[in-house]
Amino acid sequence: MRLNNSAQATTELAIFGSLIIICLAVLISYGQSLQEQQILQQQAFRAALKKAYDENAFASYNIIKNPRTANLFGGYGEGGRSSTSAGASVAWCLGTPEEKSYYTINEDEFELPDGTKIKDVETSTSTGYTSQETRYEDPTARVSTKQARLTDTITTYLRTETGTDIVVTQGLDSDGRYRQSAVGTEVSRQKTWTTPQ
Amino acid sequence: MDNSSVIKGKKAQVTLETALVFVALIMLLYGSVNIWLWFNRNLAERQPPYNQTRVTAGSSNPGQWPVSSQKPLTESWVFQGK
Repeated sequence: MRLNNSAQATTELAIFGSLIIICLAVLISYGQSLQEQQILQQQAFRAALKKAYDENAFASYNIIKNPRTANLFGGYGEGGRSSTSAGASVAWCLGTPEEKSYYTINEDEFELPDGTKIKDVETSTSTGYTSQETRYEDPTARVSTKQARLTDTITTYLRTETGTDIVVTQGLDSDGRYRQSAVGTEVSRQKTWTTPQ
Repeated sequence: MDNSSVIKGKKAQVTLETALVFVALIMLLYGSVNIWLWFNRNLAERQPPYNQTRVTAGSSNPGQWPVSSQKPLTESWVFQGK
């Protein structure tokens, strides 16, 4: 039995080490989301302030973003998607202001029709991912290639009080951002490496 | 070799293995703390220029957005803290 103790400490640390790494990864991703939240809150207030000044209005500005994130459990080039949002309302006007409401969903900005009240926001997503690994060997070297193809679509439903939904469908573009013009875009990643024989 | 020598040898093995992996763990922890400090520094450094440009942002000359650029997360920051 004593022989089984060899490398026990290494084995234990290999098990608990992975838990420690997961804890550190969670802490780092929490820091990242705090940062994204701060940037988005500042951006939403600044955008609302600009709209309010430009249009002499009481402006409401909402931003919904889906940043791409690293995905430890996904395949090569698969990545992940997170969601963050912020909103601000600013009255910066002379006289009686008009009420204006704007939404920026990822890379697309639009103004809501006058009097539209949003009561809920929902999203649905669809992802298509394929990966392929090929290996070529000759007497001098082994050449490996990994290739991944990804299509990702997000549909955002702005539920209004009148029951008429505003639907925005966006696709993942090659720069890692979602926009309406990129629906159906296939993002591909490829890496090739050579190992001498 | 008697039994006590074998046990002492095993104890030393565990200590040695722990010492080796402990170095890697400390490096990992150090790097992670530095990444946290990088987030913290960015949060703190983003706020003052944002506050200072608030009034002009609501004018005819609102300036550029973003008002501050984010410092990149570099290898020297993660491994040396600078």
